[in-house]
Amino acid sequence: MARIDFALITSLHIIYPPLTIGLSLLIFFSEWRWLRTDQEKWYRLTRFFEKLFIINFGAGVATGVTMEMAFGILFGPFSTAAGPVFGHMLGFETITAFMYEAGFVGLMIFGWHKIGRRMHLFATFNVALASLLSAFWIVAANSWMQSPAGVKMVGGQFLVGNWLEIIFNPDSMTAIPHMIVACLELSLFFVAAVSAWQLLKQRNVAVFAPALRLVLPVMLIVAAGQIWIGDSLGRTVAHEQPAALAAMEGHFKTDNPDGSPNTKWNVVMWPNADKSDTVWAFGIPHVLSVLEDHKWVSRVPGLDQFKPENRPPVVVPFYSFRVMVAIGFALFGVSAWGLWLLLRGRLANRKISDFENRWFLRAVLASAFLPYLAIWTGWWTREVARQPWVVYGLMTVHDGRSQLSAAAEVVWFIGFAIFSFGVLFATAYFLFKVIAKGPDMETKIPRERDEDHQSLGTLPPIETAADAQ
Amino acid sequence: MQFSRMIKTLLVALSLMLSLAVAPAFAQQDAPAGHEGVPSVKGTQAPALPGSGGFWSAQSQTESVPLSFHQLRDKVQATDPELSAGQKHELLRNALYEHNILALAWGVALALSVTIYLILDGADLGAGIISLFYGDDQTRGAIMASMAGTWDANETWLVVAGGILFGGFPFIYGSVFHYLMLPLMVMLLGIMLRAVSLEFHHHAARSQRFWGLGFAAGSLVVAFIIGAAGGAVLDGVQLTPRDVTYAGGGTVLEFTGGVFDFISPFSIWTGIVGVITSVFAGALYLRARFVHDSPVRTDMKDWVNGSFIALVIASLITLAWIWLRFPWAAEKWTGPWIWGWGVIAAWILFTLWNIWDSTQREKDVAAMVWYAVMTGSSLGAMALTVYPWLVPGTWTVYDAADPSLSLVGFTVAMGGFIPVILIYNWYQIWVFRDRLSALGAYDHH
Repeated sequence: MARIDFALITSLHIIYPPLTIGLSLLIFFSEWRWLRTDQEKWYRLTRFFEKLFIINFGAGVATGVTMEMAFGILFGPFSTAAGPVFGHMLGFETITAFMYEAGFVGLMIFGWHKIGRRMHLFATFNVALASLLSAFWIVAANSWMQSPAGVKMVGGQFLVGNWLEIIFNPDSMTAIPHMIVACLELSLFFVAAVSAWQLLKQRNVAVFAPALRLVLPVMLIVAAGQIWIGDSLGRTVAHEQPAALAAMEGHFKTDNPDGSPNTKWNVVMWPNADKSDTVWAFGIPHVLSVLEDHKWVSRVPGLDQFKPENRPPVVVPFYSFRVMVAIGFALFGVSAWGLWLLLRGRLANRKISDFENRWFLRAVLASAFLPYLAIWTGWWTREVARQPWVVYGLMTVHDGRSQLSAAAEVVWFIGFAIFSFGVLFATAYFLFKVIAKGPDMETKIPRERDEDHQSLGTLPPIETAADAQ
Repeated sequence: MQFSRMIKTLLVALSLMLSLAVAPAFAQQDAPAGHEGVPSVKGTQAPALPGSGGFWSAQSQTESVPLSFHQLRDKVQATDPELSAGQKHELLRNALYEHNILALAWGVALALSVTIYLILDGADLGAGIISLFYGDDQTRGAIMASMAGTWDANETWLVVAGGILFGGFPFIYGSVFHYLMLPLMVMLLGIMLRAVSLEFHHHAARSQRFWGLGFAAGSLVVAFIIGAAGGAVLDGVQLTPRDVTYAGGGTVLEFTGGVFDFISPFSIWTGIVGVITSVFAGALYLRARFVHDSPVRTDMKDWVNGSFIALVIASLITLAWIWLRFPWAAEKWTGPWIWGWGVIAAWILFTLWNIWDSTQREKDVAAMVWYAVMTGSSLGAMALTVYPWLVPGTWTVYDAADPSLSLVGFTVAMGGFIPVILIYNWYQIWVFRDRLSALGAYDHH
């Protein structure tokens, strides 16, 4: 039950930070362009996406604080044992990234017209930098659970041996780029989809068509890069966590009955009850060796190499991994299509105003949900394939969870389910509302040395309230 | 300029709090876990340790407690045949000394971030509670707008405290959080409700009333729970040892009691004190935040006066209750340092008088600063009372600390970033310093 509770909390938290991280970078870019070119469209884009950013940010903070506390409550023994390492890393994240970000977010959102343009750009820069740092620490901490390095184990605790080995553990070296690029990819598709929606409605073409044209080539590079990084991460997992890889690939028998290495890569399969073989499967020979070792024939350890009680669940990692990979390629395809249209000049403002390429815009719109699904399935793969361990090979989830009563766990679950879904629903509702309203094209653009300390936001004067009565 | 004075006063207050909190470092010799002393006991039994012949003695200490830092060093050093007894002694003494200093430094950092959180967010929480009494959405919206630029930075001090607790004091994070599961859960729901309500309130059209109420109710719940959790921690917590096989094996202390164990008349009362204090802080904050002739500021005069009297009475009751309930507190207060406690009490009375004086002379900002000094001093005094325990009767600062604390980690986290955070926190408050010139809900940023 603690696992389900925690899965719920993490699944509903991971929706928000990737957009925060990626979008802050894009907003910084857009604001920087505005300062350099002084073109109105960049300012409008900045302000518009900033509104979406802050809605998402609030939800991310609310669910993130929950996660931090949930470690102590639901996984008390784990917190005690891994606190010196894992807790410290979260603590570093809090101090070097979270605080830093929260401090500048206030300035970034409410500082318009109050601080200078350059100071504001600096605030945006710090928000972007801090969110990157945050991703770094969190994924490093999680990677340490996947490939625990650099610790001394004494008296039921993981003590710090070497911080460099802990932070730059084998898994983090590829997992951190994978996550950061995923954040960027998600945000690029988010921006592209919001732009595509506005363009389909023929609104503000002069603002959103350039935005779409700008993100398309970047999307292609990022999507291609992500596939490459993903492949490296796959091989890291194969090296560090063979059991996890075997589960992800549904690879049960290390060798064929005749003694040669089993190199069959299952496209679809279903495992039997004791996770010793498939009930049915469709696979292609040699692909597994090529994927994991980049060799035609090589021996990849299957689940039969592990004690039955140490075998992770297979169905979830296997299928979520496939969904994630499929999405990775689908996103690459959509970007390639876009770039092809772009190179042929078919995404010019005039063409879009003539309702050309509507199917492409619809495809972009539809693919906005895919990166979210990919991040979800990616995390499920990662977390479920590590089972039964909470710290791979060293501490089981069973040892790490608090001995809570069933009633307490159910209360916790229901409370947070209602609340988290409430937050999710409200966030989505307000995101759509702001997107539907579109950017504010009227309000004054801030100029240098024009700061105003008279009011906070736009408050209607006091007389209006009195007159109305 | 009122604000430059405010900066100065705040700096004085901060350094005062710091010196109050650091003072125990110099009085370390008589602490139970001092570097010359014997390892203190974990668990709730009286501090009499069987066979405690000094921490470097080869015999193993009580087996029912987790391998503490002292025992760990003991084992490591005892197995090294190269070293003479004197060398081992010296090494351990140094290691332990460093550990204790670091543990204390982390403890001070923890106390400091909790204090800053309570001072900064207390006002936001109190303003939220007061907004319950404003039925019209205009006023409530204006109260919410007044903290729009700063509330999340204020709230992150709580997250910092959580981070320090997790990394620096993992034993507490893993066991006491379990004891406080229910209040923490309710508090989290309250904090989340507040956060999303603030964000969504101005995006909403029809649901504005709902988010306004959510904000106000969330504030009330959080203020109450923080007070109640504080009381529950003072009450202490019963932990049971359990043998584990992972990570080298050992014995860990776990909480095995019920979800409602934290409830006692005392913890309920401290919850109420939390609400009263927040309301007072919120009233002071709103007086400083709205222009002089606004109705909210006028209303707040009665609120300030009323809640001030309530706060003084509540503090006296709490003090008496602690005196009667916790022998360790009464012993310390009437011990050899009684004159020191007298000075602290006089100082707190002086700050209280200054708050009252500032409010009566309409010096809103000065009143807030004196309130911050008063809160900091009271919490510092409470920390001194509890010292060397972090959780009375269960964990001392030294034993709860991560046994592998390193100076590098502390320096990176605290030396580098805390000053930076303080600077930009200040800059932010400075940018959003103006009084709200009018009443009303803000519609966009």
